[in-house]
Amino acid sequence: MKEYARFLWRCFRISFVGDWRYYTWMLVLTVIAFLGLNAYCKQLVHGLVTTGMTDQVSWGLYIANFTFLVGMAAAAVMLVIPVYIYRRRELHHLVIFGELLAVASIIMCLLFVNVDLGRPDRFMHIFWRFNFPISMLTWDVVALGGYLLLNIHICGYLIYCDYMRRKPSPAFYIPFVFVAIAWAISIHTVTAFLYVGLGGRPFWNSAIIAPRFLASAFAAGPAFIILTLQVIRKTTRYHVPNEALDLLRHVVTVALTINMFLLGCELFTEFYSDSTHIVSTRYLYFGLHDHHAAVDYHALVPWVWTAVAFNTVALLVLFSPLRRRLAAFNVACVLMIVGIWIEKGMGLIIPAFVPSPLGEIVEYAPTVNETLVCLGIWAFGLLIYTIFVRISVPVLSGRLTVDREYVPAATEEMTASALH
Amino acid sequence: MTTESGGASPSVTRRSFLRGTLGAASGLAAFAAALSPLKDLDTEDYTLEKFLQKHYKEMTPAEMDEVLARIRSEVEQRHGLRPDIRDVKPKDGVEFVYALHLGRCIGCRKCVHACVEENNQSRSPEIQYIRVLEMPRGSVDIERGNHHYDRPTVPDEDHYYMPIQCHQCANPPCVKVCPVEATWQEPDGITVIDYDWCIGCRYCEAACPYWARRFNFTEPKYARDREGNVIMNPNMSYLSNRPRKQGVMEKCHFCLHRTREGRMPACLEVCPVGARKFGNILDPESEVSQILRTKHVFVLKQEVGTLPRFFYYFDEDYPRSEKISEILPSSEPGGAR
Amino acid sequence: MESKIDAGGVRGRDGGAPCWAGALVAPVFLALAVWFLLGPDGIDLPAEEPSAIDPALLATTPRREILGDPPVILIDGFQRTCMECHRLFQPREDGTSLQLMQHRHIKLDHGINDRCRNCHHVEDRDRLVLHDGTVIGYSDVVTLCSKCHGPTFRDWQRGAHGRTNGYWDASRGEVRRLGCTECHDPHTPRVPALDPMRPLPGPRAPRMGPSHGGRLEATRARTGTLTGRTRTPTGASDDH
Repeated sequence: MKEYARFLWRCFRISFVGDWRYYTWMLVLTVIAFLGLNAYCKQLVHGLVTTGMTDQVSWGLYIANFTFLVGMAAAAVMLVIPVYIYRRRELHHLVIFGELLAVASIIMCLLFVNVDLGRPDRFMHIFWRFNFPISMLTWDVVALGGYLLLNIHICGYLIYCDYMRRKPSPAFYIPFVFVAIAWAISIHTVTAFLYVGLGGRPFWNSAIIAPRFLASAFAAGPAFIILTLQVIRKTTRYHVPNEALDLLRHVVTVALTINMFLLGCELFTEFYSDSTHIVSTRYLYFGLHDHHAAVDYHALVPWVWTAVAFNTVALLVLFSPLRRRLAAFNVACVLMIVGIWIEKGMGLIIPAFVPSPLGEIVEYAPTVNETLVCLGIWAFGLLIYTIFVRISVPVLSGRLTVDREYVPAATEEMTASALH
Repeated sequence: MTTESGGASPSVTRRSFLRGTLGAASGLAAFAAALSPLKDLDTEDYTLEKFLQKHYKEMTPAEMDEVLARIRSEVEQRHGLRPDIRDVKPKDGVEFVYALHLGRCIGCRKCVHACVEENNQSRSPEIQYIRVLEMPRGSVDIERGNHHYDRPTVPDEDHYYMPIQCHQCANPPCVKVCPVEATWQEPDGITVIDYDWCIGCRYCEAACPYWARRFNFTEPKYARDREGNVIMNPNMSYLSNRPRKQGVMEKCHFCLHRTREGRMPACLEVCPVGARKFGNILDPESEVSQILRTKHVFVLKQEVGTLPRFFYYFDEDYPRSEKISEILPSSEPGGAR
Repeated sequence: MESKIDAGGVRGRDGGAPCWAGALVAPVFLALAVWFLLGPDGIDLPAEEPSAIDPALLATTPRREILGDPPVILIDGFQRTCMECHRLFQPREDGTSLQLMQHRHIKLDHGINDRCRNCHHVEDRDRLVLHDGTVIGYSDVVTLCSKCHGPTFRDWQRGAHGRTNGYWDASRGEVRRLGCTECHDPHTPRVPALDPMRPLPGPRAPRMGPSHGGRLEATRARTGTLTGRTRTPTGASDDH
């Protein structure tokens, strides 16, 4: 126990160790996080009127980000499956980075849900009267909470074992890993079912939403991990093998292909049948015209076509010889992440509210305050993920362990070369 | 901060120690300053009493009395009006149904504002439970309705008018989705909300196919008359028209503080053309029972399966397509149509 | 092992921040604190003044005040029953109506019902008469209307036609079914029942978009009102 406390203290200490790039990054993130906190305090005082949400569009940027981040959390499992099911043991350290991403993502998800609540002080009501199993939100609470605990346990246990220089006992993590695989699929399915189960919103009431969620999550999540691994490669001496990036590239290619195919299915179903149920889809891709007010509504059209373009370009890069060039591949990853973020946020949440169930068109644009809160939560999430990586890299490479002081890799090498 | 080995040169140690402390202190200062808007927070909403308040269904009558007393004094303190607030229970053998005669409604929106008066809605931003759609003749497609009509006079001869409010569905999607059971259906058919239990997640608002639910995006503001007294209806009940707070949902509740005591709802009483009908469907001789038996009624969005308790009907079209000039008679008796 | 090597500021030492990056921390945080405490609010709040509709427009009284039984009306400043004047002159034998000297405000536009004595008793003007000659009082006027307007009367009995004020539950209060003449002037039945009127204000939410008088963003509090709409207390709109 005392050893564990000391471990935590050393983790805390090492979060403040780093070069100028680290400090600048952390400082920027902290500033943005504080800006977000300040904006949220204003929202607590005045209510959700500080956001751009209305009775017609009652969910906005907060829930859009929540949806995207649940996908990111689920995608951690895309590393776990090859390592544990296909026994690519040499990559098993990468699982940690994926699962740490899952932890950070889930924390961000919980924060996004909290800032969206009208009465966050009544959050504990969910424990006193829990509308389980009928309300899908309750399933989401169980799924996200359980997933968070699972991943905290797995990562915490593996890192602590490495720190203590003892071999982790399989019984304490292997079963949890397999549960986490199934659980990861379920958290995103459950989140999809939140939307799918609403008969009054035909844009959501479609069986394809859950598969599309998973496909896009398994494209965006690993893309993010690919970029993170390269950052780790550049900023630390940790060895990230190219096989890892190759494996993830294959995962991402398959996932993005499936995602684009499902998009095609959706577009055909909607536009070929052309019933009145597709008015939200038409709003998203082409805009709507209000005859009474003689006004055109097309705020989302540039966004969705940008997303389609980004994803298409990314897919083309992944199928072309360019995929072997790291620069092009990284661009594809960035395009994919942005494209899928738009698709899941603007492209999924907002159009279901336009027009309203009574046919009224009210568009949505986030306010400055709302955007600051979102940026603040993203910054906070990146902050804790950076801290996680800052802790785990030295532990996994054996430089931060129970029996020695921490020595930065550069110092160690220079001292070693000085001795020779 | 000292190094792990503890043997660094003193000047560097002091400098880094100072820098570290200064950094930490300024960080804390920035954190505290970030929280500074909270000084304007209305703390009356966040008392221990309210934190521990139970769900409506779990309160004993004594606990309910305490809560009502608290609400009474709060309203008096805040608004200068002593309300008559009680917990009106449903009666046995009653299931409420609303019927609306679409051949009559002229779209005057008196029902909308009578409801706002009766139920103490916020005026700025104004919450209106009832939404009247101006529909083109020949179509029941809601998408073609105009919510924002503002003509010199209504009705317009090429349109008919359809008011929409909560239908108190028998298979309510809003009740299904609420994670904390803050909304539920009572035995007499009214779907109610416990305003002190709602967490404001707005899942019910997304789920309602009729866009019947409203959210308090900010603290409700009330109007005042020329003497400065608040314009508020003092006849209140716990589940219906007591003043709500920021961050909770609300919606039409068939004026249960009136209807459960046998009275007609406010929207019906003010309708100048008698388009609204209300009563107990379990009584075969009630107005609504007779209407449902004899008129061609329909419900909105039947395909969604919500089983609404709000029925629309037309019967013969009363003469509205004539131009207004024809209504004013010439001096000729027995004038032609 | 001691580590003093500071490789040109690229890699910092254990437990310490690099020189200049670390020096930035405190000033940045302090500047941020100052911004939070003294900077602008930066939020859009709806600024419309809360206003109420004139209560007269929301009255629940019947649209017409009906006559008593027997009716008493004001003639030349005096309250009179019908027979007080009508006993002074005989009804014309040919059944036509005299040019009206009193009751000039009455315009008869009741479709094919163009004879006064279809409803009014010829001799006893304090009474009404049914199609078969039965004499009834003014308080039974609904029976008279029903003789021609059978289906409407049937609907009225069911509650499908006309308004019911008061209570729906007769065991707890009066179920006040409004009678025909409480909405329909018996001489010109379209009035006031079919009177057009000015609609009361529609939705007044702050973010309805540019086409409906509101902006997508609520205006700031200091500008006073929302763009485009002002509402007088009577509910009429000044624009349009």
